[in-house]
Amino acid sequence: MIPLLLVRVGESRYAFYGREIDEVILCPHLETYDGQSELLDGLFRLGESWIAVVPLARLLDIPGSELGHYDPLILLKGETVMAIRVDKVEGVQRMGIDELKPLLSVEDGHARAARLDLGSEPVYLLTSADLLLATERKVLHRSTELYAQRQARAEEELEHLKGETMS
Amino acid sequence: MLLTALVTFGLATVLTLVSFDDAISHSENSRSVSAQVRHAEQLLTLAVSQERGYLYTGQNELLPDINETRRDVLMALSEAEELTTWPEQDGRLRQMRELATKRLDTLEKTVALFEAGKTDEARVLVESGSGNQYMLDFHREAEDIVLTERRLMREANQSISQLSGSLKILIVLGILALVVLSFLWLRMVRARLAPLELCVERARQVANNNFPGTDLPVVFADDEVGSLTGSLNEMTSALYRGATKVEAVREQVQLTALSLSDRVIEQSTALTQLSSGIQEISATVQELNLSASQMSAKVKGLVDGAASRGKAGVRGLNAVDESVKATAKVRDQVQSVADFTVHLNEKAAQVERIVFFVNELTERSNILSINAALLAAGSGEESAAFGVLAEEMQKLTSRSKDSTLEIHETLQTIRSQIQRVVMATEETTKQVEAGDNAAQQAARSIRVLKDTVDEGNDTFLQIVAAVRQQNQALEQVEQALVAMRESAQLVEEGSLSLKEDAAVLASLNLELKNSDLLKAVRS
Repeated sequence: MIPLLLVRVGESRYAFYGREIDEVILCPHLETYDGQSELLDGLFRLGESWIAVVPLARLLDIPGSELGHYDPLILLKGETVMAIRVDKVEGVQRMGIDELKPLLSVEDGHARAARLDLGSEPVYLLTSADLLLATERKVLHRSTELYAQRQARAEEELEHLKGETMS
Repeated sequence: MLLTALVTFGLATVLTLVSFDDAISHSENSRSVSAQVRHAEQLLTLAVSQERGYLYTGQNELLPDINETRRDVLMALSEAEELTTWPEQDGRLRQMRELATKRLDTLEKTVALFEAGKTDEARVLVESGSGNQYMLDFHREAEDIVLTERRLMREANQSISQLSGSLKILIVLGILALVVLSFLWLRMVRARLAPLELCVERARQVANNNFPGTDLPVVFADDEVGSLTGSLNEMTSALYRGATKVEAVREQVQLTALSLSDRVIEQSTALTQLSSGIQEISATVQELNLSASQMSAKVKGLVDGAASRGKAGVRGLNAVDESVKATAKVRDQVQSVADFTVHLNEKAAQVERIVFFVNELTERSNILSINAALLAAGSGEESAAFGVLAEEMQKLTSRSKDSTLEIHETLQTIRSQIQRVVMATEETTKQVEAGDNAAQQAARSIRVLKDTVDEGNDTFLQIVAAVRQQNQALEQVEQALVAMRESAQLVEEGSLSLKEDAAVLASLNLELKNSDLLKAVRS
């Protein structure tokens, strides 16, 4: 049985392989900056790293909802710089391999790997590796790096100013 | 020379008259002195006789009043002294005074002795003759004085005769002088009065309306006659000028009389028209009076109707006030319901916040359960534990969601009910307010109506009063018209009088025109 995480974006339902998911969290407050990539909703700090939030609707080029407080974020394993925002996480569903209907041709995006029949509406199983183009991935990386550097510089300067005030 | 003669004649006459007067007075004085002396002598003699009679008869009525006799004798002698002009006479009179005094003293002594009962002594004194000597001396002096006075009187009379003769001559001379002077004066006066004759002649000519023009008498004398002549000339000139002016005025009067006559005719025509107008106005006034009376009756009916409507308005107003009060009570109750609803709403909101929090917890729990399920999808014992945890949490989450949903639905229902209550309350409030507004509007309308009715009532009463005043005014107008008619009549009569006066003026003008004076001026 394959654990699949079922999510909803707009009126469409999608699924992720459970093993590809590191964690599901609720979206915190996001930092934004002028000139950031249109792919991003914003960034948040997770430990020492800055994570870019990318809406799944934008990646799949489908209509989705605006960023809301406590929207679910999917942290994929291996992805250190990106979290995928969905409208709703419906749960983890175990399904047999036979129930997966692979898509042999590209339909509405190359990340859709298979289709699942769950309920009245179809569910597309996504391959996380194919969600971003290479270029898009580079953009994300660069954006995150730039923001992190900028933030580090600001924090250093703040520390320096604090030091001067104390003296 | 004539004047000197006159003055001399006058002086002589005056002196003669003065001398004549002196002589007469001297004569009179002498006569008076003699009379006074004789009177004193008689008094003294009488007193002596009375003394002897009293001494020998003892009759009191013979007793002389010594004091009175003394006073009278001395008074007579004093009179004589004042009258006499001769110093010698004065001496004699003084002597007589002394003798009389002594004699009277003797008399007094004698009487006193007799009254004291000393009759013999009294007789002795009488017989002694001292008193007699005094009397003899007295008589002698008196005789001398009288003789002297007679002589003086004779001399005065002679002077009088002489002066009388002189006076006669003077009178004759005076008469002659008077005649001569009168003749001369007459000639002088006649010469001085000749210009006056000329003036008289000139005045006669002016009286006959004959103005001489420049032919006026000229007198160069600088006296009253010259002044009179000059004044007469001025008067003649002024009279001529005056007559000329009178002629001019007469012509003006003629023109004025003609104009006056024309005006009188115009006035008479205007009066006729005025009279017609007055009659028309009078008829109109009567019609107005009649319509005013009818209007007054109608307005009276309206006033009565308005009064009853006013009372109905008052009752309606009271009913509206009651309705407004009841509406206010309902509004208060609705307001309290609304307040309770608001409080309920707040509580629902509070519950909803709690539900929202629970929802959040549920969501987080769901996320935890999902993560647990993802972890459970792995292998190992921990995965199984996570699976159980995920499952239990999933159940909890599901139940929580269901409960939350149910609570949410219930809250929604409550909110919707509250909303419906609020809406119903608002609707009720609106209706109550609408009703209140309507009631107040009705009250205002009724008040306005009542006020209008009252105003109308007042207006009607004012109209009635105005109509009454109009009636009175019309009556006054009618009276005024009557007075105007009478005045017009008087004016007409006055016009007739003016017409007559104009005719009189015209006749007077004709008389003036035909007068000799103005004819002379015109010629």
